[in-house]
Amino acid sequence: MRPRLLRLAYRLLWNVHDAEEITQEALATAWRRVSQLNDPGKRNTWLYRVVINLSRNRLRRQGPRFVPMQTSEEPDPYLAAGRIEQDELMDRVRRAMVDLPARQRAALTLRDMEQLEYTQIAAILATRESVARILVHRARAGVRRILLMRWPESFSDFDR
Amino acid sequence: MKCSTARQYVDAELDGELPAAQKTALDEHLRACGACRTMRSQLLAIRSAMQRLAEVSEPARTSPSPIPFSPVGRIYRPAAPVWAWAAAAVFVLCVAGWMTRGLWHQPLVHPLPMARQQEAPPTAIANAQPQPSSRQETAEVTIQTPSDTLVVPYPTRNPKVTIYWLYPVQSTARNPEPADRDTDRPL
Repeated sequence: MRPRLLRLAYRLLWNVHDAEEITQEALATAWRRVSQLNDPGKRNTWLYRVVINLSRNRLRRQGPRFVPMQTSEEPDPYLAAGRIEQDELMDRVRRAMVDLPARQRAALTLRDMEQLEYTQIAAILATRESVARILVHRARAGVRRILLMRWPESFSDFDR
Repeated sequence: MKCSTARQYVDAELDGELPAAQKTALDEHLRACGACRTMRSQLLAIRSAMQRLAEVSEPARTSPSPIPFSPVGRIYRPAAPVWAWAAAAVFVLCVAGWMTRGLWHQPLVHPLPMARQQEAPPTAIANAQPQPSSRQETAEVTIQTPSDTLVVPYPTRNPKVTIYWLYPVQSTARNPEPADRDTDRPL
């Protein structure tokens, strides 16, 4: 479970050190409060929610801290070297995702990167499935809007 | 088909949930609407970029978990309830009290050595002879003026030992204070 939590935290924060801290904090919280969990079958859903909430708090408190990948002395070990520089759109998409509202960002990450079903996303976000669909659709539109505002040339190769 | 409906179909297409009939209707609308066609291509590009991002953001390494996992299958150990801690504290206090029970009956202040002397039986006292090895101390006190000293005998449990307390008594008649005692004091 820990690698999945770490992966989710990294895809929400895009900083390997923050993701490690968030994962450890989430597991420590789970250790303390597992007795309060009524349904042990929802433990993974609960852990996902804890990671999402902790990541949201971290982003609110200190903002996004992308680990530079091109000229950094400490390269990000989770990203394949060189691929992110070659794919400029990929880098812009992750920067746009960080600027989304917290629930939209979480829903889009869980759907398009974690490949979860809408029922699972709704359970993690403690909402209805229809609301989870709306969150994902608004998040996609939000990423497109941010890309067009900041980097209008992003879709020059895709416009037909 | 309205553009808002086409947007919903595009979202369903991205989720892989668009039925074939609606897919045909969407394609017809896209051929006629350039804005919706551009929107769809951009959303597909974003979706493709996110999939590539997901591929490269897989953890390349996982550090060992600092939380020890139980081998019996219970991942997390629930915290002990309050009554368990209280019962453990009472048990520890009982054990500690039982182990130190001997200390409770010992007086904190030991009696004087004279009070702890064993009282000899009457026959032993009558036949008692001074032992050569016994220690005998004698103090000679010369009183110059017996009337000025009050001698108070203080017997002990040992009939052979008597302590005499000498209290000096100052006679006021022999040393009367001068009447004009304060006259020569400076003003």
